[in-house]
Amino acid sequence: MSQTPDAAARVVDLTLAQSSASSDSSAPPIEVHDLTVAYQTRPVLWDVDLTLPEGKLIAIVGPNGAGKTTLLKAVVDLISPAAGWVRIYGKPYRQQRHLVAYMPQRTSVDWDFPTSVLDVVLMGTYGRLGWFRRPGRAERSLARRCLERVGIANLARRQISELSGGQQQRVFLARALAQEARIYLMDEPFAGVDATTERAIIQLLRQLRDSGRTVVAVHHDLQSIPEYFDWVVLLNLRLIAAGPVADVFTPANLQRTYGGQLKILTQAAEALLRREEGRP
Amino acid sequence: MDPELYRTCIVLLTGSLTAATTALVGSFLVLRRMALIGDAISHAILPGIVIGFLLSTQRHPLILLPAAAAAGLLTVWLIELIYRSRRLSEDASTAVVFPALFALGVLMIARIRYVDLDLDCVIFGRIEDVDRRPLVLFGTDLGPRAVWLLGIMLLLDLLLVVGLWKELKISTFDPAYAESLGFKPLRIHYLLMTAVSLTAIAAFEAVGAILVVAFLVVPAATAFLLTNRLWLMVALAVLFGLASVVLGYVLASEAVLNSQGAAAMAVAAGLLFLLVWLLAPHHGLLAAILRRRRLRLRFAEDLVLLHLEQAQTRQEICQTLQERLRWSDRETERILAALSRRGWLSCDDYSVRLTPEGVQAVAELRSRYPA
Amino acid sequence: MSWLPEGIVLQGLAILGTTCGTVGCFALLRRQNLLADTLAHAALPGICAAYLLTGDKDLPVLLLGAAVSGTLGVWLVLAIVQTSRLKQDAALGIVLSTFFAGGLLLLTYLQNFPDGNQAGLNTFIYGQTAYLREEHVRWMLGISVVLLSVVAVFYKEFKLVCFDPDYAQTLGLRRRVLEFLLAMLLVLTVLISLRSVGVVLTVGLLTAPAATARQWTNRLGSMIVLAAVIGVACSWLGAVWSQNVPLTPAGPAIVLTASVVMLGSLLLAPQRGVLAAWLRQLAHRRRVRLENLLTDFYRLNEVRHDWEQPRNLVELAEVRGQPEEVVRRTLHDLEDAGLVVETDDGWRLTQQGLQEAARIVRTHRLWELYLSRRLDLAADHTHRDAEAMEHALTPELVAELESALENPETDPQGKPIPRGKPLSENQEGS
Repeated sequence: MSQTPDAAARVVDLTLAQSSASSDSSAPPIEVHDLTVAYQTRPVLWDVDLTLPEGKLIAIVGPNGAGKTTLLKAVVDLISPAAGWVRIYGKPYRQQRHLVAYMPQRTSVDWDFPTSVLDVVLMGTYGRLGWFRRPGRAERSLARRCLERVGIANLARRQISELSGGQQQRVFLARALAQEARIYLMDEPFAGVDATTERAIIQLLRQLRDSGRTVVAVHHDLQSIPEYFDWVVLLNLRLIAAGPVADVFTPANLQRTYGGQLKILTQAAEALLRREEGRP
Repeated sequence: MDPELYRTCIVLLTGSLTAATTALVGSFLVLRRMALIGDAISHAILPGIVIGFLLSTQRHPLILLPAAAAAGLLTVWLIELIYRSRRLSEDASTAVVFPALFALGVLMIARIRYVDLDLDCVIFGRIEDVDRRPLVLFGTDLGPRAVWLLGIMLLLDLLLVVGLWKELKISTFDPAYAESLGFKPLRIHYLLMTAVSLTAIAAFEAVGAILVVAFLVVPAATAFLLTNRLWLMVALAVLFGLASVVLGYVLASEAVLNSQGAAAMAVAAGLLFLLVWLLAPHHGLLAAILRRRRLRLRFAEDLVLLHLEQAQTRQEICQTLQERLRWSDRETERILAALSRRGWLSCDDYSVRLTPEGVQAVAELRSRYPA
Repeated sequence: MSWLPEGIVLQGLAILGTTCGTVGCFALLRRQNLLADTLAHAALPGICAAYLLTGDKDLPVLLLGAAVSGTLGVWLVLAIVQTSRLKQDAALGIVLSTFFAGGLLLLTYLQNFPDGNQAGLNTFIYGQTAYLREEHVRWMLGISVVLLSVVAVFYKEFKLVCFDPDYAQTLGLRRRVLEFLLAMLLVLTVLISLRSVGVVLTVGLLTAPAATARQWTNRLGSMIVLAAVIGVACSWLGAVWSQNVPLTPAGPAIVLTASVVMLGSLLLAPQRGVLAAWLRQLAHRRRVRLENLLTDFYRLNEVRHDWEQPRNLVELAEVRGQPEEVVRRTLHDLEDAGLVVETDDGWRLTQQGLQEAARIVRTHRLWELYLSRRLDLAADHTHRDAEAMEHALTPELVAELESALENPETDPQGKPIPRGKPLSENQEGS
């Protein structure tokens, strides 16, 4: 009966690690309630209500300054909201850190930092290690496996400044994998990467999804959304729409998301949808 | 004239000339976010001073000034060279270059060991003693050397700032645009750096190499907190400089602290800055705190207004906001009170109703945050 | 007098060098060197005020004063940046100069007192390495041991928070605590060095060894160790210099030594060094020169598919648009590499040379084709870009081009793209 919260958490963790696909708690992986984030008085996110399903590949889409990155940052508690709250499997982020892996934008760090690729990936295990403990052999082999999964095992000992944009993105991805989380939050994983890397990344994200993980990615390229993602969240200050791509990714919604300013984009999306659905 | 009064006049004149000439170039340093380059230059011209001194023990301005300009430009060039090679950040390149040159200067001074060029004087200045160092040309005593030097420098800086006003202005605010107009911002950059070096050396005899920074940066930064107009900022910077000189002189006088004049002037400049930083009408700390509080209140009011439609009674509103925004009842009550003071709500103990003005406000809000 | 400084001085400098090197690495990575400079300057009024208040010249009392006013200075910098429109540089300049002036003011004020002989405090401005006493060194050692053990214990956390603070926070690391700890390390390090190298030069000793170490290694761990070693070595060198050359104060000598070592490393370091980069550039240019001439052979011979046809100097020089002397030199270089041979009628490609030439021409034409197909560039606009690319594309990229273009046969101008295994009359005949 005297199960400490810590021990309880570990049990949950174990069961999660074993069971893969189906959710074993009724709470959704991410629940955003009435979230409002403001810098001074200028809201960057306004009253967002959102419940994301488990085991889906989810895109967050919207124009520049729509609050996409802010939404991710609010989920992982990097920004404290003016109002509203976020729950991860029904609990605040602080209690559920071990279930979430966050991948920031590639350009957010100094790639001339004196460290190796393997070292960056090992950083993904720091949260689990806690204070004082150094990554040991188990962590190293985990990091190696993660590098293999993103296809750059041969670069493990490379200095990170020698990497190309696509390789940097893969390193960050491997670092997120090393967290062995259930939810992956990725800020523009496809930004500035080459075609091969983009294919490799999406394949990996699909693998994660197929093993029951929930993957949320900020995405810019509207064209590839129907091909890559199951679910889409359209955001522009407010939540415009969220749901399965087929239901939500419509010209009307895109028009509302991007306003009149980006007619070409909506036209492109329309043309694409037409082709996807085999219409003339 | 009473010698004591004469001395006072000379000290104040020297200080004022220093303040005016440094404020002219300092304003642009602050606007270009190069305050620390000014710091680096003023430290690093030390070897330039020593070399100039070796060439002319009389410190003839025609020798001293080019030597200092060369040392100053060398500093800027070295920092940029290292930074551009992308081996170190700008911060680190600055932090490597100027201590090195300063150390070199100190070593040179220590080895030369002239009575007339002691380290304390070069680094901290001796504004009280400027009248003891006259400029002697063809055997005639023309008055304090520092006053002459600073006077010339003031003219040169005025010439630069007035003559190149629009070039300086545009290359400071939008270098890329200036480039496209054919203004050569790089040339203006180096011209300004030369002016800073020359100004620093003209001022070092009076206030020393380190306190020059206070004169370059502090009055200009103070002025920047008070205005958005460039000409007004420069004028205010000069005024703040002059005020610090007078204030500092009083502070350092025998009656008060009986201590170093230049340091007291720099401290006075710092105190003026502190005052303006706290109290400035738009960019001051107090104004910012008040504004932020006001904005936060406005924002909270907006949130309440938008939630009003789902609830009519006081209790319901408190409950909704507690549920959706995790507000305490007290907080909700506070905002409700603020809204009724605005005349947007009519409240009694039980119910809450939007007034016609309130309805209009909500409509306007909705259009601001379209669903 | 020995050529070596006293043992106690050497001990003190060893502690100083180690600490400054270690902590300097974190300051360098967090771009806080100028903040450290401001911190050092801002410590001066604290030292004077501590003396004024207590009348005590003991090191710990003075250091406490220095810590208080230094921290206050740094806090003011942060407050100015956060609450006003002034940027970091102006905030640093303001705090640095006015705090220093305040210190100076107090210092001259102290002179008014009969026993206010400020010689002891004056040392903090320039530093006085030669007069390190056992008591000072004990204090330095104590502080330094604490600092280094904090670094050892929190090494992994410090590394992450320097590299990617946001990410560290999402992992549950206490970012604010770690940043505060790092700031405290900086404060204590500055305090240690104040008495030895002085307010103005402290930043030099903090920056130069770390910046030097960064040029020689790509790992944080080895960078820290190296910076500590360099810090000690430069301090000792500077002290020995000061000991043996009259009229040389030790503080500036140490900082100048460290700076010269730093500049030297910037130039000479094997990987990151400017010289190494320049040599690599030269090597690349040479390669471009060689490869260009090889492809000239190929293009000349391509017309009649006569790969063995010798070419003479005049005609090669004309095609390349270079003086004959340059072309001759290039030809000799190619000959040394076994790619061409000199015959009676001029120069001829060897089998190996032909293969290499075909590879480069293939890369060139693939790239041209890619540009014209993917970017819709006109065929005559692609050549110059391809001219640069043919020397740079890696085999992997070429393979990717091939698959993207579905193994094409001809380039935009209709010239055949040589196959992976180059064609030659010999091979085709055999």
